[in-house]
Amino acid sequence: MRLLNKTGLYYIGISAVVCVIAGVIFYFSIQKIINEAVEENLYNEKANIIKQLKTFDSIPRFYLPSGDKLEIIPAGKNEKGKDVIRNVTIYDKSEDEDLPYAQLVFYSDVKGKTYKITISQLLLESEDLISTVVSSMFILMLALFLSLLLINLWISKKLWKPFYDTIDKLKMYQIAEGGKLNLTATNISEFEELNSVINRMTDKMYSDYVSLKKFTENAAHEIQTPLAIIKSKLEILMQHENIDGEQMKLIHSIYESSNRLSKLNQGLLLLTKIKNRQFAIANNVDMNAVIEKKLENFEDIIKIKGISIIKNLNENVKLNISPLLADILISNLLNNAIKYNVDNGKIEIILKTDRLVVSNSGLPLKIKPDSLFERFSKDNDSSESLGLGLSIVKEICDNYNFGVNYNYSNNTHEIEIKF
Amino acid sequence: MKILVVEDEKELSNSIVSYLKQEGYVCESAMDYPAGSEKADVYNYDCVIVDITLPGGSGMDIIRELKGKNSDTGIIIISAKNSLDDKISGLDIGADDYLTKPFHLSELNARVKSIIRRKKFEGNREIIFNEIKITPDEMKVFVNKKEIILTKKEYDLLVYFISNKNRVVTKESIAEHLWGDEIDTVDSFDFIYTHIKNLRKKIIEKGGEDYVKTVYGIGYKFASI
Repeated sequence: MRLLNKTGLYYIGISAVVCVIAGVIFYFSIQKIINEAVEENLYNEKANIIKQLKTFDSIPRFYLPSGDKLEIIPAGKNEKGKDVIRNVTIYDKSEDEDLPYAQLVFYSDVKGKTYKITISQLLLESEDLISTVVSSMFILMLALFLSLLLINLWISKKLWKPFYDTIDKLKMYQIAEGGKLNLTATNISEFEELNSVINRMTDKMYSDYVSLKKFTENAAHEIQTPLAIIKSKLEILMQHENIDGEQMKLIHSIYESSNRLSKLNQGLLLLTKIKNRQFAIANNVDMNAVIEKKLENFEDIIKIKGISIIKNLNENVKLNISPLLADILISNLLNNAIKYNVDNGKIEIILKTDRLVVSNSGLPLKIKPDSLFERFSKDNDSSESLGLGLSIVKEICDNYNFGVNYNYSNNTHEIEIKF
Repeated sequence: MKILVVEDEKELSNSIVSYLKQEGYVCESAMDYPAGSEKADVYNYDCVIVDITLPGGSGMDIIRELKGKNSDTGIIIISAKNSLDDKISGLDIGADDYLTKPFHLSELNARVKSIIRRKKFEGNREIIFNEIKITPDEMKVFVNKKEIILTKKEYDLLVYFISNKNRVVTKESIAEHLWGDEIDTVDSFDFIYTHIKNLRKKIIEKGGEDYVKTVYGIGYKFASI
């Protein structure tokens, strides 16, 4: 739920509660004010009546506001009491219902005679009052709701724009493509602060990334030269006539290790280069031709291992990809399929316009399939394999947004690449 | 046969020179661009081995200068930059071959031989080792004047062996020579063995000698003694 909708809902919820409470208070206070006014009126009328009774001998005609009633009845001598104000309902013929009245009952002496005088004043019906209060509250709520809605819309368009702008830009941010985020300037200090923090963070990230990248590149690059020297010296050393078997074994073991180190280094260098997108893309690389070429190169090995190849290659698969990476991709996939195959096994290659599937017979994996594409993950811990082959495949696929999947069923490993 | 090595890494340059001298070449070396450029300009070499990144300039310029002289000098680029662009532009301006560091000296030697053979002995480019004769143009091999039929890899292997005759050739360098760097070299040793076995058999069948000697598990030596 968007922040604005959430705050909007809170506002509406709270306003509803406030409106109900306000309505109740409103109702009672209006009622109180009306009651006081009615009482005051009744006493005013009482004063009027007493004045008239004292001025005139007889009971005069009284003119009261419409709806009010006056009742003067003789009372017994001893029938005296205090003024009483009470609420009663009196049946009204014309409206055929009970109507609420406020009554003032008092006693007055006129020429030695005592009268019981009752003034009744018609009250506003309380239902009318409630409905008036509720409806006015409802209108208020509606107005509040609508204005909140409008304000929300307006705010989301105006006020939060820099925020959503920033989020959009962060979503698109790719560190490898680097550089500035170019966040929109805003006069809202919170957003300005957010932007400046993000800017500082991405700047730091980028400079760290660049220096790390440079370091990896340089390190790998610089290691190659001493390795080349070591290897060449060993090659010269092993040509000497008077080296015995024991010494040759030592040389061999150094030679082997330096070879391994050099391969490892080249693999890592390649991974870095792919990640840095240092390979130029060519148009319409013929994948079918690449596969055929690689199969030809591995032909003898496939034959020696007795592996049978099943090909289902669409001849019209042209990708926009670096030719070198296409080469490496295919040769790594085939290399794996051959290496982890069984004697007299098979390899199936399917090339369609939207995918490439390389599957081979083989024993089940000992490691988790998820870690298959990780660097240095090897199925058997023999130090012979570098464990970089499939991570290079993954990196190449990531580079071109190809999906890559691994499956194992019926003793068959399958790697599927979706173009 | 004169060869110029333009390489700024002294020790690597020494190794190359020392290895090639043993092959009977006359070798000179230059450590930077001015020296390399000057030597390439003044003398005639059969082959120039040149690094791309040099102090004082680019190896590419030396290649351009050599090509400008219209010489038939063979040119091999050795570079630490394993980049396709470098390779393509190097070959475009007239280099004959490209090797990435670190490389096997036996591989460099084989490439030098192949280039000199192509450049110098036009019309007569046979490789002869005792009773074995190879005609590289047709990729044919004769033992005692009788043709033997080899597979592509067996042929490559034989040429590689003879180019590095009397030398210890490591299994790693053979693997890379035959399959490029696409294969995990360790896995390929069995396959090398199979190829060598077949090659031996085919040569011996036609009355040839068994020249391939195993050297302490490190590799092989193709030698008549």
